[in-house]
Amino acid sequence: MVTLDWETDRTDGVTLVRLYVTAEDRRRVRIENRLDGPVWPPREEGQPAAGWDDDAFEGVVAPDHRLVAGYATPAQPADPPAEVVADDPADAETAPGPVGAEAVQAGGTTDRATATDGGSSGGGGTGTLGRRDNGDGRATGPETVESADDEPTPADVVRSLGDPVVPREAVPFPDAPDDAEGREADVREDESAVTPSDERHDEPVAPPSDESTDAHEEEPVDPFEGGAGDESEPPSSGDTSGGGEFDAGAHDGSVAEDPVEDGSGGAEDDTGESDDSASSRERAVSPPDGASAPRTDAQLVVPGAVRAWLRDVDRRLAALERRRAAEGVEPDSTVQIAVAGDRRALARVADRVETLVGRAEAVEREARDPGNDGGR
Amino acid sequence: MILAVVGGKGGVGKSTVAYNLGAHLDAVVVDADLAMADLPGARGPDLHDVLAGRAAPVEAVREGGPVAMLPCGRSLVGARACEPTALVDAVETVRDAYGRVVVDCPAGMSGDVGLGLLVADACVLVTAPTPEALGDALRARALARELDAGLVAVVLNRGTDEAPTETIANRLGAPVTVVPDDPVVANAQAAGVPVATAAPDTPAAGAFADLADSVERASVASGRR
Repeated sequence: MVTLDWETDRTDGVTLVRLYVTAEDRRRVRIENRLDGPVWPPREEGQPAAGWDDDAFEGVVAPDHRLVAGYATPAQPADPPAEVVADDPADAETAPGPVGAEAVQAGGTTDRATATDGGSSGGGGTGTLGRRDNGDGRATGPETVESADDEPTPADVVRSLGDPVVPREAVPFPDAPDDAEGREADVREDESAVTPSDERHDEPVAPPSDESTDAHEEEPVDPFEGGAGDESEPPSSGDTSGGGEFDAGAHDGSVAEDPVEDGSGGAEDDTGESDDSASSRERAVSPPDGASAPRTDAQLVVPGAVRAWLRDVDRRLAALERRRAAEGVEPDSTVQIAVAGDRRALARVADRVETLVGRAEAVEREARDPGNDGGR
Repeated sequence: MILAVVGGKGGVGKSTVAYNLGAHLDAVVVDADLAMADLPGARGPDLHDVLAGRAAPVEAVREGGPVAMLPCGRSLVGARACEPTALVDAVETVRDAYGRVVVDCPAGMSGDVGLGLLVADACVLVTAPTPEALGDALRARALARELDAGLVAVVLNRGTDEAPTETIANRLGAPVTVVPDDPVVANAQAAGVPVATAAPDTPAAGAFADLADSVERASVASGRR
């Protein structure tokens, strides 16, 4: 027993017809247009899509696989727009879906007469169609007959199309001594990050600009400088532990150490740079009003940039590890130098972070309990 | 409903179409060009902050202007720090809060275009009547199919009466809306207002209204099932 449901929709002089076939057992059906006009079937690469020949669509429907087809015609809509003209029991081996879907996919041929079995491509075809034919214009139909892959994930998309994030080389980390330019740029950026409603221009804007300048210059640059210029300073500990420690330190600074309020979380990350600016920032940020929220977010730009750097190092190491595991090839000397640079840089950052976290904690205690001498 | 506005080629007017569609559909326009932003900007957290985990998606939506927008961000450091795959969740969160989202996808065929299409229920393809633009439109069309974003309509931007509308409709397989080459469109965009506000009763405003109607119909059709 086969049931044919349909929807029609007229747009821009074209009638779109959607057909849904359900059945209680596996049937092979042939459906013909009954509207008074030519059938415009969906096309793949200019050829009618799988299942279509002349004015008819042929496919296999199963109890658990609704068969879906769509086409367009210039004719006016009518009920029914199409009819089931043939309905035969189908072999249990036959995959549900448009007839010939598998052949089209595998051979790249349009020989739709032979439906090879196996595979669940038909399932994929019918499954996705239900969504796809939504307003899909004249090309409604079993378009991409993918094999039964699950829905693509965001990671799949990035893997196959490429990471859209700008490459690290494109981001100018200001050189440490080049203060004037870097500060100017950062001040501009920070001004734009402050909400327009923020009237307290003088007080709150200055500290964040200071801070993000410091952050841009201190944290990412230090390691690079170290990597380039400091050949004679072998760190004692392993590279990965340095990175891990650093990571943990950064998070501790903003989360674990800050049970009281959101506002001070951002300030804390960089308190080590200057005690004065840190405590004034603490005061500026503390009132948890609406205006302070975006500024806190802007302050966290710093961990973001650092995170990007760590991600780069991580990828570089992962690529090398993969290559070594797969090919047994030792990386060439250039790469080894790069890894050594990473290791030195990470170790230096780890030390620096540790110091800064210590200072930040001290300053924070001081700011919270000015009279209590850090007894908390 | 999440609608992606794609085009393949740059400079065909995707952002303009997205902005005006957002106005007609009362949707939030998300500027998803992760490496560069070009919708009119304001101050506050932006998409880069959202994708880096520094701001909640809804908090970054700007409701002050004629069209609610989630701007992208303007600093390369911000662009560098963001996690692109988070775009999907971010857009869905905004959809849950506001109902309708128009995702302004970047030019090219990079991952951010794919992510915009992946999260979208349907897409609008913007192209211009030049061979390069049409070639890119075909590729964007193929990607939209791959990622299951049904093509609702093709916008032929800066079209003229001689434009091969019929051919384009046949090749791309969707009704074509022609947005005429009229300075009111660019002027309205530069002023940060929809064409329907800046120049109602112009053919361009009518074209955007028609386009919005097509999208409405498509979303109703998909809602029926």
